[in-house]
Amino acid sequence: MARRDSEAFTAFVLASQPRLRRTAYLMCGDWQLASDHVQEALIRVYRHWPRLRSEPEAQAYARKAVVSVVIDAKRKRSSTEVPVDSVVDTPEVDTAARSADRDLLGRCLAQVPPRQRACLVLRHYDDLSVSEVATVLGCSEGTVKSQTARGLETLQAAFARETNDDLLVSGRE
Amino acid sequence: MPRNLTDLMEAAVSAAPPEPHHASDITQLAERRQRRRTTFVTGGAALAVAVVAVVTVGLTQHHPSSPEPIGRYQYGRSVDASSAVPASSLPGYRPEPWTIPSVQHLGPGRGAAPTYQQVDAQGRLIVQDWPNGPDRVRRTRIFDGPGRGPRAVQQPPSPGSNAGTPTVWLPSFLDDGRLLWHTSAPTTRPGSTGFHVTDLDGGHDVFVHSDFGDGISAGQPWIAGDRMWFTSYDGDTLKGTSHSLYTAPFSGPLTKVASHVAVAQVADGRVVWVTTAGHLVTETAAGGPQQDVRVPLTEGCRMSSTLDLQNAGAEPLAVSDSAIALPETCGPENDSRQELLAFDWSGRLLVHVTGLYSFNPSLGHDALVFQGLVPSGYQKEASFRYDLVTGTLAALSPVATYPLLQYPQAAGRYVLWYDRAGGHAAEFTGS
Repeated sequence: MARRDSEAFTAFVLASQPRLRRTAYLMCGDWQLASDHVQEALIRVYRHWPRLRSEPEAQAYARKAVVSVVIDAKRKRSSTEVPVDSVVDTPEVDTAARSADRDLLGRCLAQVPPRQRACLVLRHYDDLSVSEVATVLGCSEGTVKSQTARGLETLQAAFARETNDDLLVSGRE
Repeated sequence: MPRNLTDLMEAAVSAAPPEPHHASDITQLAERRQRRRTTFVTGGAALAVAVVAVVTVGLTQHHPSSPEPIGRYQYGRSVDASSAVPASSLPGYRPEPWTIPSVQHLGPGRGAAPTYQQVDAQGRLIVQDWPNGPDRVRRTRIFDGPGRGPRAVQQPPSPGSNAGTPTVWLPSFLDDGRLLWHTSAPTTRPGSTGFHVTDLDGGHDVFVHSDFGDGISAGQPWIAGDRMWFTSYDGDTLKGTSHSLYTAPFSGPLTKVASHVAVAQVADGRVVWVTTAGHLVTETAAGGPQQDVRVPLTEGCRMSSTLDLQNAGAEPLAVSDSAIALPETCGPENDSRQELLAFDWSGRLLVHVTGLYSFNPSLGHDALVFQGLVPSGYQKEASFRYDLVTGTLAALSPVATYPLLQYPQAAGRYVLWYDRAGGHAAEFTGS
């Protein structure tokens, strides 16, 4: 890869890494693991970089790679939280309320199977359409709908057990 | 107060810790792998031809086998979860009196982690904890038995770090009594991608390079003798992720065993995989022809899809020298359930477990261990052990609503499992 391409790739990493990391975090529940998964996914993107002709195309490919890496890794490990060797200090902006939200969501999402969790995160955090999620996951739109519905059902049940309250979703098609 | 899912997700990610991987480091790492790939592709062209030839020959030599049934096993059984008896009531049940804490609480809002990682066929236990808190380096110890101190193990040299974060070697037991050490995270130091195989004391250390370029890397390989197997991501299909299965001797060239692999497993000298088309294929770890194994599916059931297999817990496929266990999918598409089958190498049914959504099977000496969710509501779960000799299904833990911190594992006559009270190991000598 030419030097200018390397520079362009580095710029792409800088621009896309934070968002991809947040998506990966919601899927795996661990910031360090999320960082590692995004790194691995971006290495896959690098191999295809010369063939990715536009920023949106690269973004879509990177998102697909992140989801694949996270699901692949999840398959190999226990379904429970496994902490990392070293955790970077959490910034002070992590207020008690946010921390509680993060933990609550983490506990609930941990009960949703990986593919269903991917559907929920892509639909309700990344704001992708059913068709876009189907492209990312390489499955049919019908599968996305059923997986999202089943995932949401599990998540809402988990949320209700934790809070005795309802978890609402925005009105998307 | 009701909450909105998207708002909750936004709040959960609003306080991300600093990113440890710098963009320029990622580019450098990617470039380094790309260079290795180029070397690999150039040097491996001739090898690829040979591999194609070997695989082609292998695939065309399907030897229908009909080994004798295993005399001591009960065949053709169907057991329902409702018939399960408490494991503690079984003759020959001997709980191991481990006093080491099996759970470490990580502090407010950080949950808990299981410390019992693995048991081997001699009842040894790998324990992992964070003696100085979860923000510090984790500690791994091997205990030969309850009441005994940790074994003095020489650890491999430091694997380095990943973008400033120190990585450590994590051991796991191999079938032949050795230890496999893999890193806790990828390392960026050139030439450091690989794993160690040592004896139980950490001696006779062999470092095996596992990055073959082109994105083909044996992250957590299966090991048999001095050979490794691993799957490598190829791409997504309509029904899940497709992999290739590779093998290589510790110091030799890479061979592609199969393409379009959904899940795979290597144990007790057997290599088994399910293709994305739903075929179960096997070969011995020593090589030899590949064979299709006919799965004795229950009437009204079918092979689970790639998607379902890959969602079926940590290990969807279990293998031993006498049996295979995997889930089958039963019922209509919109209301399907996942039930567990165990059968011998010629496809003769040993047991079909009903009344549970079953996953994470593990095969030990004459026993099938697995997790099961109660279908009504999928809220309650438990770990079970089915004795292939006596035909008895036993519940290792009470059926209850709680997250199991670790999936159950069988090794020889030993079983490791978790329930609400924590982790347990027991020996079963009754069959």
